[in-house]
Amino acid sequence: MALALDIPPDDLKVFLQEVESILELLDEDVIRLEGEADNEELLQEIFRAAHTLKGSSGMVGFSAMVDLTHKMEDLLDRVRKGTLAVTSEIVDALLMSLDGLKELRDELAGTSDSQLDVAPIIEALQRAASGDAPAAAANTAVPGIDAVLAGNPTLRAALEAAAASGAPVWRITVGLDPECEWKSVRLFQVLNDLTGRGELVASVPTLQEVEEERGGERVEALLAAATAPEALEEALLAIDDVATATIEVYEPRAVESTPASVAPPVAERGKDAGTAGPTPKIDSLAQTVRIDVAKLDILINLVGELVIDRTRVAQVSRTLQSRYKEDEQVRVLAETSTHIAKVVDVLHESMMQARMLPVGVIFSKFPRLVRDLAKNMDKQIALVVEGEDTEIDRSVIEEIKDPIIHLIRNSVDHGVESAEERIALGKSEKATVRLTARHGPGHVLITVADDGRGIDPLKIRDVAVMKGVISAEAAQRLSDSEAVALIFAPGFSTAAQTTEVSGRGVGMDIVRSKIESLNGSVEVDSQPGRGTTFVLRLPLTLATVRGLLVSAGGETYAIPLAYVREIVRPEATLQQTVGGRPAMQLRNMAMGVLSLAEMLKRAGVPSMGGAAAAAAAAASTEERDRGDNYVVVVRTGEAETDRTVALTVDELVDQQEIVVKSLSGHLGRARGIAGATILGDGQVALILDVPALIKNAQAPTVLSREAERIAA
Amino acid sequence: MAEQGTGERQLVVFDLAGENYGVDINTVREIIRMQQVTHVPDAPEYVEGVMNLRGSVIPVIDLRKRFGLTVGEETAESRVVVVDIAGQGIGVVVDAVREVLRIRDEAIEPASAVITTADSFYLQGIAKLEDRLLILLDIERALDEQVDELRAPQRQALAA
Repeated sequence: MALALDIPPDDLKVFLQEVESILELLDEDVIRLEGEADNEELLQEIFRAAHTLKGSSGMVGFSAMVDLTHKMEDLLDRVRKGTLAVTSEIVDALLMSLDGLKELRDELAGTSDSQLDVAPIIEALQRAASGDAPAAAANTAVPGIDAVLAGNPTLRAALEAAAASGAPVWRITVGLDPECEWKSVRLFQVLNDLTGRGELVASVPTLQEVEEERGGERVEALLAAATAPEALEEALLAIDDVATATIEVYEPRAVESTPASVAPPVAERGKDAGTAGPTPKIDSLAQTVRIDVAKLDILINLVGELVIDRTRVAQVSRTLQSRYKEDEQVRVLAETSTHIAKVVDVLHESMMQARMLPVGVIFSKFPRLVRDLAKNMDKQIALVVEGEDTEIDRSVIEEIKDPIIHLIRNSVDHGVESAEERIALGKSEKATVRLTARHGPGHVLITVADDGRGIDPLKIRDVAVMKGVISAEAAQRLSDSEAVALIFAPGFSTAAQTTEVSGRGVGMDIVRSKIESLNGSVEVDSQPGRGTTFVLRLPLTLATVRGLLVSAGGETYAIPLAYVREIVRPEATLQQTVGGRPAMQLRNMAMGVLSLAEMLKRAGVPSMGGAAAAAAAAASTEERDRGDNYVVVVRTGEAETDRTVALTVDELVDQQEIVVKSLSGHLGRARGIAGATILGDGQVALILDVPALIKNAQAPTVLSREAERIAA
Repeated sequence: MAEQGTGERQLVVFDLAGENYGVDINTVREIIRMQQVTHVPDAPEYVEGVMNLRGSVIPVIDLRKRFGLTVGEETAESRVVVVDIAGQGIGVVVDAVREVLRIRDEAIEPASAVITTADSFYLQGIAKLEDRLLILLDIERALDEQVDELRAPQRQALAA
């Protein structure tokens, strides 16, 4: 049964979002706490986060979450005060609580039907705290509101200003039921309610004191509000656990004569209490606005259209300029067009920036993952995360999470040795898995590196041959790094037996195809005995791509630059045929030659008979002989073993940032086509899906069979 | 199929290979002149390619080819009727767009009464106008990708 609290759906959404961001923060911080037990700031942050969560869940009346966070807070409070040292038991208990909180969140969101019993978690927390009853907030005598006012001229000025505004000022005194379990929560609710009704000039305790559990069970407040006292009283009494509420017109009581020294130092906060937000904030949430991704996408599409129109206007303006050199209006048009172009470029860039998220949003999940995996497998592993601030398009971020998880699991499972093994090898007992992100030109590099046993090329060769991935003789011809790259071949798994951790051999090839589908690439570098490094190279965004525009067969196509290895004139190559099909030699590389125009014409034809193939070969030879065409050498990816193919094209048109549009249905399989873009003249150009094109078009010839074998 | 309560419907009427067709105006997003179309390799034969409709890339379908009719020449009257199918725009090339008509439901005969081929499933009916017959297309079905080939509706003599 899903939970249903009696709050409006909008409030629930806000609450869930808040819970989400706090849980993310806690996830990260609690793991950090294990290694940085002395970091007071970190402890404060965790305590505050748990506390905020308690406050918010109290507001929506979610008692299970309040209970849980309350106990977390107790425990953290002791640690914070130094009466308890951070132990692995404490971290475990906190992590267990986080899992519990996540489950509660899911229950509330309606995505989980289970009803979590928080009692065992609370028990664990109490065991971890193992001591006497939680130290309650000191309920010491607090100075009355008049004393506070006396000591604070800013507040007095605020009070005078409020009085001058015409609204009556009320002196409000609220007392809580002494049996109330969550006094701070209730006091917070009271102050929060008052904030919503008028200008809260001052209160004792202040909102901040309440947040810090220095509240007691009574609050005195001055509120400037044009509300009837009866209505105020009714509203206050409606809050749970509020026992008494008195409202009277404020009259200064001997304010001037009270010595200033009585004023508590925190009173300053009172001046902005009236404008304090309804919920306490944590720093990472400040200064941001949440926006629906769909809305953002609409804006980005519109900007994409502007980018296209900008180019168009510029073209028209240029034409007019050359036609009417002396015309004043045409000159103005040209200037305006230039200005529009600048503004649109900045706009476009800013919009793309708005889609960017720091990779930290996914990286923050990994410390927990590694900790759990390591614990399961009884290994000792430190995860080092670097470059969390590196920003990358959200569409990419969502797609790379699973591949990275897989690589990390792989490192923990296969890469890192057990502690005993490491000691025997003279390595440090604790292994390190390093996850880093950094920007390169036009792309982001993410590396997952471990200092484990590395990948043994001999073993890989054996397994590959055994599994029929590659022939024995081909295996012998591979260099060690080529052999290691075989782990990306479909169906390849090196684990002698599969484990719970990294699954059943459906791993690396999926990682590779996923990354390649994002126009990225993955490489592996391994030093036997020293470790393995995976490098993911990812585009900054999927929405735009740098493309080489070429024309072939009368159409313009865009080739993503990531696939373009080089562009050469046919004269620079040695043309020949291999097995009746055109091939060429560039420096010492031999590669198949394909005519782009021919290939797209016959794309989708499954296989070609000898005669047809020969005819196609002749046709493309002819085309090359026409003279002014170019050879674009493309590759399927970055690794050395990737297939390289030469595409002949008629013309090189341009090189530019293109906005990727997806192709809808009704277009058949459209193999070899990754999408479309709109050019400056409004024409649609297709974007080539280079790996698919090559796979499609490559009929089995001696040359390509060999290439395929190597690539596999 | 008729609009509830009104007893009549509004149709966009276009020409295709000398016959008159009508599609529900609610499915028509706009009507534009022929645009430059980019050919898409590997696409079904009846797909002309893709075109730019104010920043989105939409497929363009030649309805003559879709119905297996003789291939026509593009003329100054040729138009692209952009229809909305499940929120997606699809351009349909027709010989000419004639008019927008209101037709009372009584004027519509079920297609099966007039047409004997099995392809009548993409027809909503036949409307009898004073001087001619109007074939009412269920454009959604007519453009259904799952259906490989459609034959043009064969009209029987109705004069009797």
